Amino acid sequence: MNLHRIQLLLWAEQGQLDPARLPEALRLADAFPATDDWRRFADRLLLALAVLALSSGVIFFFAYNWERLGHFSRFALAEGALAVTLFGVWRLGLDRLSGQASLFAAALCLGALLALLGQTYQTGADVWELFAVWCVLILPWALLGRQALLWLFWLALLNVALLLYLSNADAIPRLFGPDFNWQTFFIVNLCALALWEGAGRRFAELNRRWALRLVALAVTSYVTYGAVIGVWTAWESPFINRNDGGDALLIWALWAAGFGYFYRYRARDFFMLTLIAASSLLLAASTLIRLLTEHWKQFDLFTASLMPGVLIIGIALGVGAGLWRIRKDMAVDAREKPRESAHEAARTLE
Amino acid sequence: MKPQELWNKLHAAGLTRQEAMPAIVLRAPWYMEAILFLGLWTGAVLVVCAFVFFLPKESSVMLFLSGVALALACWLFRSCPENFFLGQFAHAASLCGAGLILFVIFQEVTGHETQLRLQLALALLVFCAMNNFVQRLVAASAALSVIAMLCRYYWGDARFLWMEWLYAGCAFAFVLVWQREMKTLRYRRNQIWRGVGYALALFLLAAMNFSFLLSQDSMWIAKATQESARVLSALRVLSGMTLLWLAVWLLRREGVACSSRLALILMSAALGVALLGMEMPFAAVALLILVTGFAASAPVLLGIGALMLLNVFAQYYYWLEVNLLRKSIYLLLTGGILLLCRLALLKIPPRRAEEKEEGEHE
Repeated sequence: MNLHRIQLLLWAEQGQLDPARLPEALRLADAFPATDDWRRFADRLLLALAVLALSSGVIFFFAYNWERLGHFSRFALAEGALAVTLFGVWRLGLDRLSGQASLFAAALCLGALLALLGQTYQTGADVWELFAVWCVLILPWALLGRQALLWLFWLALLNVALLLYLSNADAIPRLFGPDFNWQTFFIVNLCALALWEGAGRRFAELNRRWALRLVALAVTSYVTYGAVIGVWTAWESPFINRNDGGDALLIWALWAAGFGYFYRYRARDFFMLTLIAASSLLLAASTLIRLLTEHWKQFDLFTASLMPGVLIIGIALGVGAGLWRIRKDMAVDAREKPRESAHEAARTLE
Repeated sequence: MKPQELWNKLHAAGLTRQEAMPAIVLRAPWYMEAILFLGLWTGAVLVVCAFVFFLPKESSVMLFLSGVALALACWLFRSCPENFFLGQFAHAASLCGAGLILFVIFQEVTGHETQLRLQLALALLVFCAMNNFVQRLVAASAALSVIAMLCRYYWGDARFLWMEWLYAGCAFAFVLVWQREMKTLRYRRNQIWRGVGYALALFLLAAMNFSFLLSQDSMWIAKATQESARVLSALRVLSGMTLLWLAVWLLRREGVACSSRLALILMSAALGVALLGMEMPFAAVALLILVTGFAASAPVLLGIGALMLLNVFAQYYYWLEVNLLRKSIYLLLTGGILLLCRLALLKIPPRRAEEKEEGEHE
C-alpha cells in the first residue's frame, strides 16, 4: 500500500496523473487501509494489548507477593496459568488468532514453571539445561502451531541454551566475546533458516518474511563476526601472532556465494542480498584497517589518516552501486517473469 | 497489485494522461539506505578527523571546505535526485561538510548556549537545503536532539519537568505532522513531512529509554514526589489526550460517526490506554505511533511503535515510581477493558457493501 501511494504521488509530479483527481486515484489504489483492514487491525491490536496487559498484570502481582507464598502455592499458580492457557488453546483452536496467542502464552508459562522447579529443587543442574529442556518440551507445540513468532522464540531459546552450554563455566556468557564459538551458532541458525525456507514453501503460515529475515540477520552476524576475526588472524604480523583465520574467510566466502545465489535467483529476496553487502562492507573495512595499521609508516600522518576514510567511502559507494544494479535486474525480472505467488511478487522489491 | 495492474486500473477509470505506463522510478528500500549511510558516515568521520587532527586548524579553511562539500551535496541532490550512486556520494560530502562545521563551532565558539543554537541552525540549514529524505531525517533528528539539550540548558534544575513537556509536545507534533503527511498530495512536500515524522518517532523512542534511565536515579524520584506529582500527571494527560484526538480524527476520516457503537468501543479502548499512560509512561505514545503507522501505511513506523510498546511493558517492571501491586492493578484493569472492547467489537457486524458506497457518495 505504501509503495502505491508514493508511486502515485511521483506520477502526479511527473504530470502523468491529473493532480486534481489524485484523491480518486488513491482510493482506487487502496493506498490507505480499507474498512476491513481497519477492523482486522483493531481486532488484533486489542487482543494483543489485552493479552500483554493481563499477563504483565498477573506476573507483577505474583512478583509482589512472591516472598509470602509457600512452595505449593507457587506451583499451583504456575501450573494453573499453564493449564488456563492450554485450555484456551483447546477451546479456541489453532485456526484462530486467539488460540495462537494462547499457545504462545502457554510456551511462556512453561518456562516460568521450569524456572520455578529449578529454583525450588536445587538439583545442581546447570542453567543451560533449563533452556534446553524448555526447547525440547515446546517443540511439539511449535510443530503443531506453525506460528512464526513461536518458532522464532524457540530458536532464541536454542541459541541461549547453546551460549550457556558453550561458555566458560567461570565466566559470564557473552555473545561475541573473546571465546565465542561462532561456528556452532552459524551452522545451527543456517540449518534453521534452510529448514524454515523449505517449510515456508509448503505451509503458508510459516512464510513470514520478517521472521526469516531476522534469522538471516543472526546468521549474517555470526559469520561476519567470524570473518572479521579471520581477517585479523589470517596472517602473522608484528602485532598479531596467529595465522589460522583463513578457514573463517573461506566459510564466509562460501556463505556469501550460496546465500547470494539462493536469494538472487531462487527465493528472490533483496533484503537478504543487502545483508551480504553489509557483511562485505564490514569485512572490507576491517581488511583496510589491518593493512593500514601494518603499513602506516610508509605514509605521512595526514595521508595515513585520510586514506581509511576515503577508501571506506569508496567501498560503500561501490557496494551501493553493485546493490543498485542487482535491484534493477530484479525489478526487470519481476516484470518479465511470472510469479508463483503474490508473496514472491511483493518480497522481491520490499 | 503490480504497478502495471495499478496503471491499467487508473487508465480504465480515465485518470491517466496516456495508455502506456511510464517508467517506474526504482527506489532504494530503507534498509539499503541505512546500511550504506552507516558506511558513508564512518568514512566521513574518518575524513573529518584527518582534516581536524593533521591539518593546520584554520577556521576559514575549514569553513571553506565545508561550504564546498555542502554546496556540492546540495547540487547533486537537486540536479540528480534519482541517481542512486551520485546520491550516496552526496551523502558522504554532506556528512563531511557538516562535520567540519561542527568542529569549527566547538573550536571557535565558547558559550554552550551559542554552540547549541549554531548546531540547531546547521541542522535546519541541512534540512532545508538537501532535497533528500535520508538527509532530512538525520537533520530533523539532530535538530530535535539539540532542542532537547537547549531545554535542559534553560530548565536544567527542574529536569524532569522539561523532559515531560518535551515528550508531550513531541507526541502532539508527531500526530500533527503525520496528519499533514497523509493529506499532502505533492511528492516533495510529502517527503518533508515524512522526514520530520520519522525523526519525531525515533526521538520519542530514544527519549523513552533515556527517561527510564533517569527514573532509576534516586534524586529524580525525590524531586518528582516533592515538587509536582500533579504537574507530572497533567503533562502525561497531554499524551493521553493526543491519543484520543488521533482516534477521533481517524474515525472521522473513515466516515464513522462519533456517536456510533463502533466509535464508542474504540474510544473506550483509547481512553483505557490513555488512563494507563498516566501511570505507565509512554504507553499512550507507543500506541499513538503504532496506530499512526498503520493509518499512514508506513510499515517502518508500525515496527517502531510495536518495538516501543514491548519496550514500555518490559521496562515498566523496573519503573520505581509505584510498587508492583499498584502496577499489576492498573495492568489488569486496562487489560480487562481492552478485552471487553474487543468482544464488543466482534459483535458489530461488518459494514455491508451498500453502506460503504453510500458513505463514499456522501
